Amino acid sequence: MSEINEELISAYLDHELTPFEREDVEAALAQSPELRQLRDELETLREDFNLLPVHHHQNLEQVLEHVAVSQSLQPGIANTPPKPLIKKATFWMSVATTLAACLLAIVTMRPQPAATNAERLAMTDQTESSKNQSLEQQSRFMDKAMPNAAGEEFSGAMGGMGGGLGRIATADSVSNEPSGSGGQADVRLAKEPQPEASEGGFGQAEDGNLASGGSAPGTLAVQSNKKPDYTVTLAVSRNELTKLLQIIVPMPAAKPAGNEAVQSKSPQQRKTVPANVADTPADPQTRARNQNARQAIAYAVEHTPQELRKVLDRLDMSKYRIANTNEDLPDEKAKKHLATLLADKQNSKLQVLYLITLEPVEANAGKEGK
Amino acid sequence: MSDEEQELIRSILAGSSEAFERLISPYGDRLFNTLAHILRSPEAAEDVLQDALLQAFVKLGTYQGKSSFYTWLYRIAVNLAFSYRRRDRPMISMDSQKSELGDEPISRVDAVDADSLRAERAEMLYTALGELAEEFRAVIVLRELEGCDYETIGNILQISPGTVRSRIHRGRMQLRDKLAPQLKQDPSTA
Repeated sequence: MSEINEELISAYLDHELTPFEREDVEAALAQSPELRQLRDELETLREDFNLLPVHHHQNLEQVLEHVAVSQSLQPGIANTPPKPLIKKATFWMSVATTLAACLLAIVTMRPQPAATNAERLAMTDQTESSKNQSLEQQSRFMDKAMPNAAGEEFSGAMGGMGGGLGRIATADSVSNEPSGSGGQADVRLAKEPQPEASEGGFGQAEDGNLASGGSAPGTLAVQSNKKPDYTVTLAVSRNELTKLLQIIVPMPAAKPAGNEAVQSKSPQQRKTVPANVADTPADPQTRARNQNARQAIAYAVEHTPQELRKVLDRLDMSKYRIANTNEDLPDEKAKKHLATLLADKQNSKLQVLYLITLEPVEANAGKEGK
Repeated sequence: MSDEEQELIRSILAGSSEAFERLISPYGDRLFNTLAHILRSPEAAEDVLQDALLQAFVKLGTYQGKSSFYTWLYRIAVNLAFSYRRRDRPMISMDSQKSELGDEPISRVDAVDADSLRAERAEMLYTALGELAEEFRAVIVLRELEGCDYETIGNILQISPGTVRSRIHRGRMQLRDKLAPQLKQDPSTA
């Protein structure tokens, strides 16, 4: 029997043949006992699939609710108020709250930038009082959406992780290197959701208490209304998040100048950021829950094509499991897409979205023990 | 894509979280079952399903409607499943898979020889399916468990219908060879 004939038997059973092919196969079956035996065996095999176990998701509604609620907290999907979370698992909530925490920390830690750098980052200075007010309002906003215990976690995480991220972004922003030192975090948030952002934008924060626009000096203007050019999916343990972020937004060798607040905090932040991210509040129940929770972060960064290539190369060499970086394309096409993107956008910046899953501590403890 | 789905997508992009739940609900459990068989692990399928739903939500604005929403969603999920496997996550043991098999519709009552043989064959099939290379397992699962036609499978996996046909046949032949001793014992195939 030829390979072609055998394939036609499978397709025949699946009713995938053209009428002419079907006629040929039926004629061949009539003449060949071997083909008939093959047909019978494959038919029995297909029937056996009815005996396989059927897996049911135990809490699909909760997953859907969390995805929907966590995304509704992000700017751009503004109108539906978030549902109060009553379940213990809050890992999807951390997408919005951690992102908000990172962004706020960047606001607080960012030094007085030079004019060109300030324009690039699109985050302007705030007066101390308005900054504190924004933080307080943001904190209230998050507390409204999250149980207190989880809110405490992110209050802690804000300082630590945010400090670390602020250090990274800040150091990059004051660097004299135009863009070769690494990517810049695009942390623009707008008060009102931008219609075009809903067509694929990401990272818009929605907080009516934040000032809008970005045109007024002294206001916090954060907006990201661009569709990401590229998406990278990563998984990392909590205590390695800082290392991963340093790959994504590497720090330049030189320490930032002219920002004593950052410099004075840097050595401690370097120690405390991983700890604060891995640490949990004093409440042991919350600690246990948070350590075991799987959380996700959406992190938007602007790269030049060269920077993106370097970051991807470093990620490939790292142990941070990198998924197919465009999950709606198979590997070969994803590689071609990346090559095309890098070639087409040689002289411009790419909006890169990093979707980072924070692994629960338990999942990594076993691996580390191996 | 149906009118209802179009309307739900518009609502989601306008900010409705309820619309997202309604959009996904018809597919969620089916997709979970498919992922569980592709990944050979319901636990892994939970992780991948969560990631897939998040991806779908984040990228919903890029969905152009060229393929059905079902195809688009499954494409995201199956690619994530392939990536998940490449990350070499720990899989559940075959023993735990077998014990789970025992809780499902297969009867373990040794009343009738034919029933016992079918139960044993189901277990063998479950194992054999897990041993297939992922490109064969994916097409077989999509065909046999999801009931997708070759064109839909091709759209999900971004391969041609000819490649789908070839992989399905080769996957079935490998399964047949692994299960050959069982098939010979089955009275219905005698």
